[in-house]
Formats: sequence, C-alpha cells, structure tokens
Amino acid sequence: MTTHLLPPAPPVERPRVLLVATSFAAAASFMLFVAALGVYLLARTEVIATGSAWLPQGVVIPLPQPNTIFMTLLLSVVTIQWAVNAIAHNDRQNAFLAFGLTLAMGAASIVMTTYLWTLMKLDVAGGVQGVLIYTITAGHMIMLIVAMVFVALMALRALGGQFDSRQHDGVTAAAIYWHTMVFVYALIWIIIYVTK
Amino acid sequence: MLTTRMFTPAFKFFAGLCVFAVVAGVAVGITSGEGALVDRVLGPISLGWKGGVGNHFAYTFFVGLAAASGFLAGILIAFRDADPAAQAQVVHTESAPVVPAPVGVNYLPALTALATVFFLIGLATGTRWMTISAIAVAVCIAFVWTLRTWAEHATGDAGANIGLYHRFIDPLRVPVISIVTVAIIAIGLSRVLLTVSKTASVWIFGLVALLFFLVCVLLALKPQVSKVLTTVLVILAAIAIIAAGIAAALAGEREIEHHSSEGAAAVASSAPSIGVGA
Repeated sequence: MTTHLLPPAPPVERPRVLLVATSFAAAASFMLFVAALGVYLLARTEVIATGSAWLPQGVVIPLPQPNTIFMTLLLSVVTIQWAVNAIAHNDRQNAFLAFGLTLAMGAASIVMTTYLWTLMKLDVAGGVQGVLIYTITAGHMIMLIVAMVFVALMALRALGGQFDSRQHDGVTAAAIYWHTMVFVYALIWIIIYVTK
Repeated sequence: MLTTRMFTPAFKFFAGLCVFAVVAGVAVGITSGEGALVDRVLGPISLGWKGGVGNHFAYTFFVGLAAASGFLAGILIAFRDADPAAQAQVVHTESAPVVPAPVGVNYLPALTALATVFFLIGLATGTRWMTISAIAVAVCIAFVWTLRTWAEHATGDAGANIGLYHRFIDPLRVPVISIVTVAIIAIGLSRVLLTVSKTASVWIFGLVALLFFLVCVLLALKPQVSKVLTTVLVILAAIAIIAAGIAAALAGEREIEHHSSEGAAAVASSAPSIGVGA
C-alpha cells in the first residue's frame, strides 16, 4: 500500500470568510422564500381566476398585527446597524444596548406573529391557502430565530472581546443576515397581508 | 507580476446572472401575460404595478434571482474576491502565491452537460424517471467535483493532491460504479430478452455472457492494455446495452404464456411492462 507523505498545507487566511459565507446563506434563504412566495402568488391567481375568493369563508387576516411586526422589524434594522457602528467605534456599552434592543424586538415579533395566527383562525388542513400561509410565515419565524441566535452569538463574542474597531466581521455578518430577514418579511407583508 | 483587476471573477458571474435573470423575468412576463402588448410590457417592467406579470411563479423566481445575484455581486466586488492584491495582503507577502494548475483530464464537465441534456429531455417528454435520474447524477457530480477541486489545491504537490483525491473517492467510486453497471446490464438486457423470441433470448443471453467473459479474460491476460482502451470498451458496451434496451422497450414485449397454479389452460397475455416511457 502506498502512503503519501503530505507536505503541510500553507496557512491560508481568507479575507472575510464569515461575511461572504453569510451573504451566500442570506441569498439562499431569500431565494427559498422567493420560490415559496412565487408558488403562493400562482395558487392565489389560479383561485381568483375561477371567480372564487382567495381566503376561505370566515377567515380574516387582520392588518394591524402585521403592520406592528413590520414596524418593529424596521426599527430593529436601525438597532442592529447601531450595534455594528458602535463596535466599529469601540463603543462597547452602546453596542450591547443595541444588541439587546435588537433581540428584544425579534422576540416581540415572534410573540406578535403567534398572536396573529390565533386571530386568523385559518385551518392548515382546510386547503392550499392554509398550507402556504403557515409554511411561509412559520418559515420566516424560523429565519428570525436563526438570525436572533446569530446576533446573540456575535454579542457574546463581542462581550468576550473578540470584536473591535479593527475586526468586526462577525457583527457585520449578523447584521447582513438580519437585514435579509427583514427584507423577506417586507415581501411577506406586501404579498400575504396587504394584497390579500 | 499579478495585477489587480477592476472586476473580479465572482462579481462577473453574479452580475451576469443578475442581468440574465432580469431579462428572463421580463421575457417570461411578456410572453406568458395576457392583454394588450403595452400592458404585457409595462407590467413586468414595473414589477406588476402597471399591469400583469404573466406566470407569477416564473416572474417572481427570476426577479428574486436577480435581487439575490445582484446582492452577491455587490458583496463580492466590495470584498475583492480572488483579487491578487487582497490575497497578498492577507498572507503578508508582496504578491499573491502562485497556485499550481490542475493536472489530468476532467470528465465531470462533459458528464454535467449529459445530465443537463437528460434532465431537459425528461422534462420535455414528461419522463419522470429520466428527470429524477438526471438530478441524482447532477448531485453526485457536484459532490465529486467539489472534492476534486478541494484536493487539487490541498497541497503544493500535484502528485500528493492526486493521491489525496483517490484516497477519498475510490472507496466511494468502486461500489457506486459497480451498482450502476449491474443496473444498466440488468435493465437493458432484460428488455431485450423480453422482446425477442424465447429461443433467441437464450442465445443472446449466452452470447453476451460469453463475450463479457472473453473480454474480461483478455483484459486480465494483457494488463498492459491502456486505460483509454479499457474506458472506450466499457463506454461502447454501455452505449450498446442502453441502445438495445431502449429499442427493445419501444418494440414492446413478446406474448408470454402465464400458467395458472391449478394446472388449468395456459392464458396468453402480455407481461406487465416496466415503465419506460412516462
């Protein structure tokens, strides 16, 4: 049996790996929701083309709760960017405040989304409407939870002193994913809640 | 001396993908839309604000793809992917280290093209098994190609890189190729045997087995036979079996007698066919 004596690979430092990888992950997540929303739009068009209403009888999707969630997430875009800016200026106190506010707004959005589900009274087994709406909104909640875990991890790393004004890629990466999550919600807000 | 390029390779790819998706989105919106031409043009251009967008799924998909690829193009140009100056900066040298070019022949692009063709044929003819098989082959190619690309740049020694690649791929390649080969022979030859007459099927089975045995004996006796010749023989045999299988499937199966368990009169009927078409 031939054995190969492998010379040690040269140490490679790739620039901004986490940031670029997060961008790809964000783009993949975005495409997942775009495809799901495309299916939703197609199904809705087909149902409306038959002369029927899209939502089943008795189902009402209220708008105040989606509006509140959307506004909360828009505010969180500001706070997460505030965290990035604070870290970039070595302002750790403001960074932690911004991280905390961002996570609190994310948690508030989760609570409001579950409340919205109870208000809709939409049966998941009642037809294609329930399946699609719950798939997309629950999928977004999962994306929100992933973004919150990402932000929390980066906040802990910042707490450990791993990020400063010279190197804060992790925080920027978390912010990119957070922005993508909010952008996806903007699409959901328009397509599912506003133009219903 | 390596010089910095204004537009990096990955940026070009994703920017091109973005432009393609925009054009494709508008095109699919116009061609699948209904109504006057002006409405069919205005709708896709205005993201549905001033008219319909035709097929909603296709239009949404292409617009989303354009947004995602545009975003990635922006990120990658901002961080100067594969830029010699940026790479030299991170490894603390004056110029980027020279990367050895890959050695050996790579059949994977040709296989990818073949899988794509079969995928499109499967979609066009509604042949589900062909579409699924093409996707499975494409997934395998993606895995092997990724592994090969990694191995080609694992060390600075090309020979060691090849050894590394084979150390990973051979334990996977041998059983997979064996299963595929057995499947091709079994499915292709069985179609032929079910089509021709009973006597001819016995002759064909015997002759094919004999031919297979003789070729294996010759290859074993002449180990110095070039690898290319062996590869060509295997490919020709595979094509012959697949072509014969397809032709036999199109011709249909012969009438096969089924005997009842109680010894009643034989009932002539067509044997249940294995789905070859849709």
